[in-house]
Amino acid sequence: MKNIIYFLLLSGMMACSSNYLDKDPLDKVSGNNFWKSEEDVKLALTGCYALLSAQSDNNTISEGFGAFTMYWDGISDDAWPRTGAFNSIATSQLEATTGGIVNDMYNLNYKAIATCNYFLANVDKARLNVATTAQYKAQIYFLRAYYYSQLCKTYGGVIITLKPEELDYAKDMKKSTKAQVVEQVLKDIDTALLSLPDEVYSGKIVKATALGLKARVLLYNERWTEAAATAKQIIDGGKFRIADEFYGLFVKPGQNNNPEIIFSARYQLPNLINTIDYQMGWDQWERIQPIKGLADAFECKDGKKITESPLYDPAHPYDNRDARLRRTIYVPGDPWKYGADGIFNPAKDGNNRTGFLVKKYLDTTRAPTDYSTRSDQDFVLIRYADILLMYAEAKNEVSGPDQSVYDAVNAVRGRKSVQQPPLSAGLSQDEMRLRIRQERRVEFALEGLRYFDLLRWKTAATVLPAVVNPGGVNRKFLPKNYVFPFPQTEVDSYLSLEQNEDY
Amino acid sequence: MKKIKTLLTLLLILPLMLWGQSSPPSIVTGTVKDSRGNPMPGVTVTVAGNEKTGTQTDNAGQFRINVAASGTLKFSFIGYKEERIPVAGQKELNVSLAETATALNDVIVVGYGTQKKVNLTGAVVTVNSAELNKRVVTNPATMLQGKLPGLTVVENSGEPGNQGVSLRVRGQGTYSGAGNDPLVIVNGIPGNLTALNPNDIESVTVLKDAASASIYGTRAANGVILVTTKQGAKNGLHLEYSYNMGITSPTRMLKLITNSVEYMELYNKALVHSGQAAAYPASFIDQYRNATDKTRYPDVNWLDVLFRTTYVQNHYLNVSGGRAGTNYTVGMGLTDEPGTMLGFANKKYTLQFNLTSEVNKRVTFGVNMNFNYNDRKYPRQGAQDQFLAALSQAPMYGPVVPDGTGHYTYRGDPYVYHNKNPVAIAENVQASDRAYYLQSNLFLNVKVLEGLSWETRGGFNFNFNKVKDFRPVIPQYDWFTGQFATNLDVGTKGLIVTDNNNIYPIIYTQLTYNRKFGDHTFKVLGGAQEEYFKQESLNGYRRDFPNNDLSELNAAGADGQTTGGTAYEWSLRSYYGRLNYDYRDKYLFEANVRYDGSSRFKKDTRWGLFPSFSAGWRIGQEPFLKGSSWLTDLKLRASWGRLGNQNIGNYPYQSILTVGYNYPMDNTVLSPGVLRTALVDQNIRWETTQVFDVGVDFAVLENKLSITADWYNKRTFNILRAAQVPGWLGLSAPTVNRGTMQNVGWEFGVNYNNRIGEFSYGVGVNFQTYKNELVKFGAREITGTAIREEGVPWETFYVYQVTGIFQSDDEIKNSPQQQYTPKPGDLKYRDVNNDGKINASDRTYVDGAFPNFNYSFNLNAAWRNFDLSAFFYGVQGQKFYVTGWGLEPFRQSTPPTTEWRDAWTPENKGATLPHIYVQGYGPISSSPSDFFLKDASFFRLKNVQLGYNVKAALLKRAGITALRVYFAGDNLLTFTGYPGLDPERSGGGNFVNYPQNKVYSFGGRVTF
Repeated sequence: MKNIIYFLLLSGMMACSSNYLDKDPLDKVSGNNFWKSEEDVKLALTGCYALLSAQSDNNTISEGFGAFTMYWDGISDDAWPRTGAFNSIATSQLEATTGGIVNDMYNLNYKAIATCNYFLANVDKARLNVATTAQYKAQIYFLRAYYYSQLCKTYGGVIITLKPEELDYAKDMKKSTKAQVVEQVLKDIDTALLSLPDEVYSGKIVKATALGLKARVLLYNERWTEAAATAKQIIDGGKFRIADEFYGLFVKPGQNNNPEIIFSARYQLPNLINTIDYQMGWDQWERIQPIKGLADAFECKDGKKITESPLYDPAHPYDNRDARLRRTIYVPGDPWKYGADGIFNPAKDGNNRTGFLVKKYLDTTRAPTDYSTRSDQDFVLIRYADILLMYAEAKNEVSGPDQSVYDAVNAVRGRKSVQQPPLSAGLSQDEMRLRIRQERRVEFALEGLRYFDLLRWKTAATVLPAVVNPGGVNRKFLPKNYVFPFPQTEVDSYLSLEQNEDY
Repeated sequence: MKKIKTLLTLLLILPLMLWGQSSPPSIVTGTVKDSRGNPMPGVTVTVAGNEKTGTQTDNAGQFRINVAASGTLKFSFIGYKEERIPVAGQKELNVSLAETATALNDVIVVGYGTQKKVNLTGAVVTVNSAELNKRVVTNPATMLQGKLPGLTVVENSGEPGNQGVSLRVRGQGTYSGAGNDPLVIVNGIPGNLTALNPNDIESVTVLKDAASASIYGTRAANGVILVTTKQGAKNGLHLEYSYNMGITSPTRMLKLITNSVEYMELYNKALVHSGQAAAYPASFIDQYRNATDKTRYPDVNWLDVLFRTTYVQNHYLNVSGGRAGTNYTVGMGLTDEPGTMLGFANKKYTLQFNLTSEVNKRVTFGVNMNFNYNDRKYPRQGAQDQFLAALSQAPMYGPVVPDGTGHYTYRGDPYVYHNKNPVAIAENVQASDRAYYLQSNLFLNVKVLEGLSWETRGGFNFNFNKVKDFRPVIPQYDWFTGQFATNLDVGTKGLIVTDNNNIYPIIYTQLTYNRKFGDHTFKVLGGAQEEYFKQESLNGYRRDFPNNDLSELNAAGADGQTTGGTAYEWSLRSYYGRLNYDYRDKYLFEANVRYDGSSRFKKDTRWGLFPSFSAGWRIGQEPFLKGSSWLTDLKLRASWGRLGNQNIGNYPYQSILTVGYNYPMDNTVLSPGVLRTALVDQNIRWETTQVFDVGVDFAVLENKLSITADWYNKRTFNILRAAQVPGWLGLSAPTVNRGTMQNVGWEFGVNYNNRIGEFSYGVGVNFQTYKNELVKFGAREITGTAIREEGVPWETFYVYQVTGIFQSDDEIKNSPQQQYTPKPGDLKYRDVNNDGKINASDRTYVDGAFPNFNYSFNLNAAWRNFDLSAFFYGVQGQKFYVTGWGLEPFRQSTPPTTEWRDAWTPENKGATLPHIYVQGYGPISSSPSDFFLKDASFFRLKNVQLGYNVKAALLKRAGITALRVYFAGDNLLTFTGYPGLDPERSGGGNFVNYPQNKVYSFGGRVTF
């Protein structure tokens, strides 16, 4: 009998500890008691910013985002991407099943939008004072606008969601038109502008950041008058200028408090890093390789094309050229920290297929690099030179090449470390348009802008098929490729989303 | 040194073991052994016709008995065939007893107890130590292969200490994150099979159907494997030592083209065919063609460089004994296993200690402890990476430069890309994983009343392991100039140290009541169990070390250092019960129930009830069959039951924010940030598996032939899986209960044993087959090469079909429009929907995701002191989708295999391989097609063993009771159509995979 009592006691003891089965995560924040203080708000705000630098599923950087925005140039006429989905697009063609960037651009921007929506729906619970809350909200409105603008420039019209989604999400959402998405973006920007501080940029979003994005969205949609006016606001604000050093725009410490940078995806040693130095610069990787067409696009020192300039010497093709050329790419014979001879020799570099290497954004003091090389270059998303060239482009469309257009373009060309001669006077509107496009190409090469410029100018279908890949096959660009396809998996599983035309 | 020590120990103990032996003339003496040559204590020896005159063998299996010279001795032992031996004037008789095929009185281990085998109503198979230890293995899990119908064992790799053995009971039961691994119970509580030494294992039982497994409720959905370790002998002291050495090499290896000139010419040809420029200038090729200096211009086979023959050694020492109700056993094992691939090695040390003591007539207590220390070394990125790095090298250079300095080669081929130098990695970038593991339990059995016993068992498993991954700076040099080129690619240089530990305490207490009322026998069991698991990890990294010899964190500066750490926990509480009823041992009935609560679910969905029922009818006991001369036993069984699955991540229902999304909000420090990243379904509940099983057990001809067969339907529903949510939600999918999967199959085992004079032999066949079907899933998903769709097996291959090779431009022109622009010599794909063009809708279903069947044969024979056993194992109809290095030419410049010499050319139009190309070439590489789907059916001589038991008379003087020497071979023969490498692997993907080992093993065992 005694033993039975022991048995009952033992079983009883086991049953008594009533919270034995209640286990909570030990290294994550519970969503149930969040939004209690300003600290919580700051945590959530930082999370929304963080996706600028680390847009991916696992808190690392995906190709085409953050410091790897340069991948986009791999599918333009400026470079060739050696690996990944961008390589499939460049060597084969863009399809809904391509994967990689086709999925990431969609999923990761929505991931960022979801986190913005979560913030905007909950921040009031923290009961901060009205002005403080407004300032926080303004930054998130801007970020949401930015992420939607990314979707819009890639896919055109997309589904718009402005609230945190739950399990009972709508099963029949249709995509909005591109115009509706643009309106949503502009609306968020205008809301943000009401409360953003009018300051210089040092990492947090300021008024000029929002104006810069607004100008870009308007320009991409050919709303020339508004685009010119918006860009003019920043020019007139006087808080930004062309930096003297071109190279310094792309590496630290030059990037710190740089008067030209208006918006960037930021990194900081030792813990928030990217790997751009070894991924682009190390002879083991060389992920993005500039192609000859880009090298040839740079003028000679006299401001003339290589086909026209007397300074061009085919035996020494890279002498007497626009100073930006050798600051943007490595050309054969450049001093190089890899390879036996100390110079860049593409013929003896098993990974190099195009004859050129990326130099822009590389901190050459870090070479030779390896996997332990940590880089913290910010990736510049909007800079003042872009504001000037956007202004010039829009104004030229509105009123032809007036003096303000010349001034804007020449300010970019006249940068202290570049010093290309001013544009010759008397250009027609069409000539000026071509000069501005040319200027954008060399000024912003490898900054992730070229591909979208080709799309909005509707020149991609003529320019890209003329690009010859290593191996001799031409690229493909079909009319449907002016917008990306939605990921096949999304169209398969969410039936009310209509695939973009012809995919 | 170690061997000498072992020997010394033996010598010290030897004198203790010697005892005299005298044989008066009127007495017959002898030894009784089992079929493996082990002495058998406790065998009843009687004089035939006068059963009252009898004795039992002692612990050394020896007996002495008075018997007339013309008399006959009868030897009997439960579970063994009775032997009658005429004395015929002999003074000494040595007798060997054979096990009966289905020992009717066998008691086998079942969940929370034991059961007479004949009274089983569920689908249970068991295998004992003698059968298991025929193979000489380092990982006990691999011993189970082919031994138990219904259990599929796949050894994925020959990598020492990391074989990646997967155990599946009756196929893949679910596609949820809950996983398919069966629950392993060691000595009554959950444990680890791999940590044991094979010699310590007494028996392994697999509970296949829900009826037998449901007492383990929530953790039993994928079956249960019960392992018991050997208990001590009842009396005296016994010492056993065994040793073996295995000469180990890879089972199958690729044959590559390793002539430098041929390689470069083929590469150029392949490049041109693939639309690229030729890489090697004629001048460079000529240097090799005309070379007289073969050191500088060699033809290197990098696989010979990477793979080698090694010697695997196993030592095992066991001391076992008992006295006055207490018995114990201590087993110590050491396995030293250098890898056949350069840079891999594993050492495993085990200590098993079991003790049982009867305190008094009512109370017994005991302890089972297993300690394991494992020291594994491996190149940090693993075997596959090393293998493919070696494949990626060209034959034109070797691992070290030819100038005699011993410097590692960076690259002897400037024209194309090659992977890193695998030899430099193997010799310098070894990670080590040192694991300390303890599984232990203490039990107390109390006989409360007649028929009522109370058992409590508690214990804990503890694991600690430390992984050190040091990545030094290794300079590499140019093959031709000897100049420094670049440092070896070691990933992020520096040292990462990771500590992991987990603790897993568990306790159960239960009452069992046994009662017989006339013809009715009842057995009732009820109990409660609690278990808790906590895993913690901590890691640190530092980068810049002053040299490569200092490999502790403090040796490096703090610049760039990082740390991390995390923990998780779960807990489970359960109540369980069982009722057994039988009427005259003829009609059998069993019911089980388990009620489980898990911390992984929310309070109100936390508890799950898992019942099962089973019944058996021993027709053989019915009067109309009982008298039958040929039928020994016949039993029909049927069972139904439900099981749960909860292995789905630790906090799947909780709304959490992910930390670590940090950003430099000002210019000085990183600000911490959090994100909401996932949707959650708070109402998830148990995933449930329901099994219906019918079976028959059949024994005829005095148990010479026995058959067990089962048919089952295993259906898993409410599968816990990631929901299919659209991307625009911006949140990762929640875990939800959705989907159903079904496996219907059958399996049988046949054993035949017989004896003709001194020759005994046995044949066993196991066979199993099942059909998997995805019953409910949701929208179909296509994963590159496979499809998940309702009505077909899980991940059925879904690929383009190749109908042949384009022979001419005309044929291309007249064929459906291909996706890429083919040339003659390229693959021609089938236009499945006949619309004149090849596109995504021409992909189609191809079978082979699951094998058609698995089968095995056991053969054994014994004659006098010799015994022979052979074990064949085969898989039929399994296919793998494999690509890359070794299969496709020039993946990262990998030399093609010699089969590519016979590839298609305009002159060789009958070829089966297409024109040689460079991996990545659109018309061949870019469309997932059945060209890459390889039939991995195989039939292999898994094991053969020839043993000799030295005659006892020769050994007596040394005090040795038994000595056995043997030769064993593993994976000696393989019949397969699979290309180049080992077809026995756990899945598709990269073609390169560390092949299993072919082992020639010699060993012996001595018992004192």
